[in-house]
Amino acid sequence: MKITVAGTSKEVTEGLTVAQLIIDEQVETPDYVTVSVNDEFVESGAFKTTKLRDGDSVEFLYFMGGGR
Amino acid sequence: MIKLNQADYETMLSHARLSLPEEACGLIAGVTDGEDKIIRKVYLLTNIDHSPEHFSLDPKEQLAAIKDMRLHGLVPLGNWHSHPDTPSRPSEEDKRLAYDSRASYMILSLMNKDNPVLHSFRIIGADAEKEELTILPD
Amino acid sequence: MALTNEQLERYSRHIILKGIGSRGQKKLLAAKVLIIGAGGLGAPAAMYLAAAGVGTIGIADADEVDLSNLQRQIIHSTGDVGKPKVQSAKETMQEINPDVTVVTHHTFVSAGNIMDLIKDYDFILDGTDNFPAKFLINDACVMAEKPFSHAGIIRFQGQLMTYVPGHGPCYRCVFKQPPPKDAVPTCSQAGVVGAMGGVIGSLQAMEAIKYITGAGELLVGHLLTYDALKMEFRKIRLPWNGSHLHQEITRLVDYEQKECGGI
Repeated sequence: MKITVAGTSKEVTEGLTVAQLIIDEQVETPDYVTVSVNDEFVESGAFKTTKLRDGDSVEFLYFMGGGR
Repeated sequence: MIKLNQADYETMLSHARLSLPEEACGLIAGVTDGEDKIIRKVYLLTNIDHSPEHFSLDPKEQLAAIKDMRLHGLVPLGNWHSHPDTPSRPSEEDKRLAYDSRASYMILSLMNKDNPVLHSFRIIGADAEKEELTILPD
Repeated sequence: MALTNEQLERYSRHIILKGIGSRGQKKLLAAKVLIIGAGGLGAPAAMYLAAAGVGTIGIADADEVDLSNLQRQIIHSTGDVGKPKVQSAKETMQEINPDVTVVTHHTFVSAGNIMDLIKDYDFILDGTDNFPAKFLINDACVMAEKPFSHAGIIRFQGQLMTYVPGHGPCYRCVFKQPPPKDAVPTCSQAGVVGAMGGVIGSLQAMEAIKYITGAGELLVGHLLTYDALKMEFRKIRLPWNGSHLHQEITRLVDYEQKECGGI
């Protein structure tokens, strides 16, 4: 199925979970990433159980602490 | 009587100074209150003559300005231009090109660097008559 | 209030700009902006806000300038090493624009003093480098109903969002709570290119100017991310349904502070 990840279109397996996508995308700081699917946040506790569907748009929002 | 806000005057003055040595120009729009005209918006247009002695308002920008006036419920009240080196009074050419006897023609003189002078005129045929201009403080 | 001839010339590029004009310039001259952190983000932001004629600029930072700051904190120069950052920042800002009143706050920002610090300002910029401070600033602004700009930079990346009370999510809506100490690297661990501060810090100044003058649309309800290596900006929509996505903030917390730097 086709989903969009961080603005890029990707072909992924049916039923892919958010947790698995995080691994596949080699997300930095996987324990501290905020995920939104179709502009709704997914609670980190639900990463393993949230299955993605065809046409979904996923964004990864990272902690970025630097400023000085 | 024609009224102009201090902030709009400053905008015109800035534009006029930045346009030196060329004449700067633009449109004025607002509302009428009986005999009085109240300027609500000043438009800064390009002088397509790019000359220190003449000005012509860019036609495309004029159209855009008129559209903007309509959008904001304002009526055209006239135009303004600067005189880099001569006093604030219409030249012969200014009078010749003033087609609308109801419009206000504002002229900003930058002749005296630190003391700009703004007057507003009604032009009927060959006659230019200064009208009372009040600059309203912010 | 009439602008002087010098101001007409100094701010002429604002005055002839549709969207700012003389009215906008006067709003800037009457505005009060606080920058928390006189470092990589705060430095360029402060310089541009001073140049723009923001009438009162507050700057808060407890530290002194050190050599390693100069690679990115361009408000400070070699001769300022050892000087309190707020003093160095003030000197640079006043030289750029004597019109501006700079209020220095040579202090750490904590739950005990932040409400008092922010209360007189119209807009706040988060220029800090650690999560405890970022969450503190967020919570204080939410409680005090102050708009603020959040930003962060690291390596070749940066991000930015603007919070306006009632108009969009806050930083805590997105990031819930600070990560544990050392879970996420800081610039002193991972590094950062100085220009990152310039890009993102300037955007923060831009948001402040837009807020004050009313020009354009603020970056509310979106997280802007910048990837310098890919040369990509992305504007990510943040979920928002009219209220915060967390429990009401009723008290401020001093999370454990990081050792290196931080406000």
